Amino acid sequence: MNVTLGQYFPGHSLTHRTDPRVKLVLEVLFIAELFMVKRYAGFLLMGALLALVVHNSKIPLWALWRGLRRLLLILAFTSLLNLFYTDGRELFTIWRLTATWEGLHAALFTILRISMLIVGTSLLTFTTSPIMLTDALERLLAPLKKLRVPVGELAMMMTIALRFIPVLSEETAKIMSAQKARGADFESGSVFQRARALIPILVPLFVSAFRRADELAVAMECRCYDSAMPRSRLKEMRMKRADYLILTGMLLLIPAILMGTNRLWI
Amino acid sequence: MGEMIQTQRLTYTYPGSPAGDPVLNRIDLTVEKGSFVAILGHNGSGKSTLAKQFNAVLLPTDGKVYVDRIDTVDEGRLFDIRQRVGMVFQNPDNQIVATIVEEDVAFAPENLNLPREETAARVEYALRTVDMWEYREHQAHQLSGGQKQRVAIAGIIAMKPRCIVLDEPTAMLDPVGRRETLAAVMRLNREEGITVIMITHYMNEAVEADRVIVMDRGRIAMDGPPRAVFARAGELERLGLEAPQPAALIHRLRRRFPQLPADVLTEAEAVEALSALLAEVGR
Ligand SMILES: Nc1ncnc2c1ncn2[C@@H]1O[C@H](COP(=O)(O)OP(=O)(O)OP(=O)(O)O)[C@@H](O)[C@H]1O
Ligand SMILES: [Mg+2]
Repeated sequence: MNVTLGQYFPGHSLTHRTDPRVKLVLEVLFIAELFMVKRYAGFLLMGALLALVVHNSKIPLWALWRGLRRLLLILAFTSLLNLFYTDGRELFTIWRLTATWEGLHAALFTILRISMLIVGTSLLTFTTSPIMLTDALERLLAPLKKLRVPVGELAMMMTIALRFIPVLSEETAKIMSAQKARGADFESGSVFQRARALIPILVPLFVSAFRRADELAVAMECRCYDSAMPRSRLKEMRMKRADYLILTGMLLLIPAILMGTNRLWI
Repeated sequence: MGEMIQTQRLTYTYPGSPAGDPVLNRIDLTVEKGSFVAILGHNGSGKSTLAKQFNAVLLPTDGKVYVDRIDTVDEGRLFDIRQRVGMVFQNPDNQIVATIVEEDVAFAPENLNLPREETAARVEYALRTVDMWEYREHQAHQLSGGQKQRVAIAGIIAMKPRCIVLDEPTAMLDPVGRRETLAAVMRLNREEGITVIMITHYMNEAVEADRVIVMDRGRIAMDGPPRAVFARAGELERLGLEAPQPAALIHRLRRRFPQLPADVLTEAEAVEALSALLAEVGR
């Protein structure tokens, strides 16, 4: 089982070194922009920006492709729906289905939006270690502590969740092959039958997850963890000049792309 | 040297379990600073329960446990106790908190709220001590079992403990991982002067210790240097254990050849004893 979620490719590029808070804020801005751009020119410029970051980060293209590949089917399906079910000028007709020009544009926009969304978020997790990511989130959400939201604990939970995703998915694969060897069948039968076939996987998985949680809690206590106490950090987060430059540059550039291109005719 | 850990009539029963024999039954034990103690015993004899008393994960139902003269029931000094006595468990996967090696090793110093330079220095010291410094930026789940366990040990050493308690640290590892881990543990004891208490099922690991303790139904059944303990093969067998292979072999042969020495421990010693015997019989 290939897990790309939360995977991290250690490196020392500018993208890697940029303050994770800056990356997180820009990521949110980037995603919002993807859903507001209405012209191909906008997507072209956003794509160029993304390509620049990919190039700088030296993230291998196959890793980005692996994230995209899983969504191929959904992408194809929604594009087809868009193509045939959008009203407008006729492009061509097969049997009783009429594809429209407007549908074609809608389909292309969907493909561009979703794939750039995936590449953008993958870039964030590929170039930021999980701890830095959760740390950044904790700091950005720090004001919520005043409202008694347990931000520190939530961030620790997220760190642990990211750490155990590969462990548990490996375990799932192991249990599945063990059950298959005993004749379990996960691929055929009705939806109901297939769901039932999952029970012998989920039960041992949950039992083991609880045991792991128990042991991890003791191990964390042994290492002096106490959620009520202040913790220092190995990697200090301090905004450097480059971070301020990137942040202000992007805060100007991204909205400019949106406003500039949405007025164009293409 | 002074004592690292001292128990006085330590008795423990798990809460909610039926009355009867306690899991730990009036144990008096003193572990000297700088020593390397191996704890043996059959399944359920109370080894893990005893280990957890050494850093206040469990507290005695009766009797006392002192860590570096601190009473473990003293709640105000819990961090002092935990930081003095580190604990390593069987499954490395369930002890590693962070995805990246160096970030995991930093976990304890961060919890102790140490300044960044000190944390970084301790991470480097800890990873170098277990010979994992080159892997500092790796993802923990991609390492081998022996490497993961050494990262877990580094995570403990980063607290600069005076004592490390390891509960079957090699039980889930392959022979290579077992060797790597044992070598790291021995280096901690001999070069860093850290007191080591290691629970194990492997007799060849216990041979490396200065002192072997055998547990049986919540009591200490045998206690002494490995040579003395393993010479009592019959007693070991009754406690559900077997002497290390060379010792067991010589012990059996001694029924036919009582002139063989009783305290053989290593392979080399067994070879020596047997060639002496052959020379004598050949004459
Ligand atoms: N959390 C618990 N609650 C109740 N009883 C427990 C608990 N943990 C262990 N016991 C019981 O305490 C006794 C001693 O267990 P312990 O785990 O200390 O033995 P051990 O010597 O470490 O065994 P092993 O070699 O299997 O690790 C056993 O009878 C066990 O069933
Ligand atoms: Mg045990």
